[in-house]
Amino acid sequence: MGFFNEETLPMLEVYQQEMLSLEGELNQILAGTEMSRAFSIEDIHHVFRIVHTMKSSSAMMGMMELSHYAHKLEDLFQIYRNKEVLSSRETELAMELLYEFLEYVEGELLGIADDDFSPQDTAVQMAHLEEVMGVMGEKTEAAVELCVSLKKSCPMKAVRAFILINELKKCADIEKYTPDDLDDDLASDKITAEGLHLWVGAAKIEAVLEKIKKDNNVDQVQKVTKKAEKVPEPQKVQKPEKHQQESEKLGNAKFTNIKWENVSELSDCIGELLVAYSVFENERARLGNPKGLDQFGSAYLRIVKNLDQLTQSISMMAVTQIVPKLYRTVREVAKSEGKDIELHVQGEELEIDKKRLELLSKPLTHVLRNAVDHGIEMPQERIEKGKSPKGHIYFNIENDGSVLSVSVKDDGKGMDVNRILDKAEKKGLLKKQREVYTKAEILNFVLQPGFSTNDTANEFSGRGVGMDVVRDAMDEAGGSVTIKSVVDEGTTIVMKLPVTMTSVESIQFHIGTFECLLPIRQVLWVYTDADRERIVEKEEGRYFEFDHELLPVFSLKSKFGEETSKKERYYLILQGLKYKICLLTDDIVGETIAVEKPLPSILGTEYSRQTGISGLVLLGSGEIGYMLNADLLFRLYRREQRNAVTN
Amino acid sequence: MLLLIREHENTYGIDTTYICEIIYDHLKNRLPACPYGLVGMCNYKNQAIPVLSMSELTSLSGKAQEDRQKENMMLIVRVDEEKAAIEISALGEVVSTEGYKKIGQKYVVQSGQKVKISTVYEAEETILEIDLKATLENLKVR
Repeated sequence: MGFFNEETLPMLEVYQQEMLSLEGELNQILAGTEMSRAFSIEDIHHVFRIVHTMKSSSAMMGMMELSHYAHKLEDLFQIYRNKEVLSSRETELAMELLYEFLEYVEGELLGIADDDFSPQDTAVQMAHLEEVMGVMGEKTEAAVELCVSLKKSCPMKAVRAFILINELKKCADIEKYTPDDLDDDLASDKITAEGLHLWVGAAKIEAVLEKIKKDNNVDQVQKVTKKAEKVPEPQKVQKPEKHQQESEKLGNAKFTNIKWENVSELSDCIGELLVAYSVFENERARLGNPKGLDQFGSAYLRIVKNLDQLTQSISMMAVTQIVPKLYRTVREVAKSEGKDIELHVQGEELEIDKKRLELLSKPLTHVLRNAVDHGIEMPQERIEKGKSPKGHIYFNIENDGSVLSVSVKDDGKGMDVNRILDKAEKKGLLKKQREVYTKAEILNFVLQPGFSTNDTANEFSGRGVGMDVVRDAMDEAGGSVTIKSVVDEGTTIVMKLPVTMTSVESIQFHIGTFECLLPIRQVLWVYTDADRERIVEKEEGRYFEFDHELLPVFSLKSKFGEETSKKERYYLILQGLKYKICLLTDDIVGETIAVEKPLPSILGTEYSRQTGISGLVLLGSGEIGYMLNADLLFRLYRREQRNAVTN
Repeated sequence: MLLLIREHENTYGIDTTYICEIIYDHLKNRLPACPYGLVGMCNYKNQAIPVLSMSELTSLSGKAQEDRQKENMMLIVRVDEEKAAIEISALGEVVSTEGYKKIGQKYVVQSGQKVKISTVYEAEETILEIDLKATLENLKVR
């Protein structure tokens, strides 16, 4: 028997579910706090209740480390409950501690079902917590308000104030300062008119005063005695309306726990019902479409489609679930790098399929870490470039019904294409003359595995660390990744992936003897041999003229190992996430509702890259059909073109 | 317990715990750009699963074509959460390995063979136990 005994083992599943649900609630609170930069009194009570429940449940399961850890946090939030309001410094510390706690809980929950599970030590986290609680004790002393006047001749007063505050933070806690937004265009004017006000812990006031006086840009500094009793900032916080509505929604809604495996099985059952419908349609056609059967067929299909929609809605998760992790990533890397970075999140209210959300989580972490680590410059460097010392990263997620688009944009140093090209050349990655590479092609080199190494620390170094993870994840999902970058303006990484669906309206056709399919949403037009005049022969290949565009004509026959002497008669114009392509087929069988199954792992992603096949479809005839994907086909075409050039 | 299968003058054993079912004359679909070691896909109880050929797995390169035509049975195996079918031409007996002497943990696979062997037993004949997990891993398209 492992860690759990016969008394606790039967409760493990319930415990896991409860902890996951509480973890989700804590994440929600943190996501709201990241936006408002403050805990409301309701939040403080809510966090207290969550850690209290975690403490009791963990103790019951014999998870004493976690229970003691939660207990200590409970003590801290008890203090906060009594205070009712937190200073910005206390808010920062509380968030830091909660992120640390969540990380520990996540780690424990990940391994809890393993036979060799044993709780992780909490000594480091507890020490941190105790240190913060010690500081809290000191904080009961009054904070001192200082008014700093900068010299009239001092240019860019807001930037100078930012540098001064960062310097002071090294020797003391600066609890608050005004103007609080030094990025604001009016910040310099405010400093000129009212001075820079700082609230400093009384214990370190002398050291702070000395440091301020030594600054060449400071004209004078004085204590503001009438306001020194208490830090004035804390006020009862009103959460943004959106967050409040979300909380209300959560409070009022009636939820129940559902096992994901059950949802997945339900989805499989619906897939089988749709396959059964294809069999029925086949039989109906074979029997000459007898009367009455068509009504039965359409009623059946309507019910199954409703079921499908309901199941999909159950599988949806709000993007907010991963938002705290994004904030945490940015916060941690920025802190270790000594950078000041703000993450702006848009579209977090969107709900997307759980599998998609899980798939996105890892690549997003890589992209954000790279943006903070290698994209955004150090504050001093930004100032020298005339930028605000604070860096900004914009995360945006959108769903247009069929495509999920996720972008991460930073206002950092951008990527230097010449250096990337040099590196690619050094690594032997160039397949043609370096002069003919387009900017997009050059930027794509960073998606190669291990492209960037740690031996260089420059404007593009590190961008490749893990970027192949992003490409692989998008490949797995039949999606794409695009990089745009301008030196000194920043980099944008856009990931696009199709929205998951149990059933796909598809067009069925033959390539040689193979039954193939494509989602109808990717097929723009079907032409036949009669439209041959649209074919344009060029030295580098054949093209099809469509809507004033020349699209590459692509045949899969020889790739599929089929006889090529009989030429294909149909031209399918396909629209991928980024490009269009013309695919040749032998015929068109018709339209069908297909249930796409993933390829077995023995074939995997590489097989998809080599064939353009994204999945398998069980046809009504009992045979297996091959689902193609426009993006995979375009990439396959490009790959062949590149190989042709190399050879 | 091992199910014995004789191919290319060798006796191979497959741990019976992997075997879900043995089916006869089952329809098999060709697979586009079929990777070496795989011979197609089949619809097994509404699941599309890859089909491997025992003679191709155990043969040296290029010698399996003839033997494959004799294969009219499929062993449906489950490795971890995934199923696969292995085409075979004849079933051998099921034996217990208790009392068999293990003469080696590692069998040197001959060049061209895709099969991976976990244990070699010495009985009346030498039995090569197939490491199915490693064999499937070895067949992965890379």
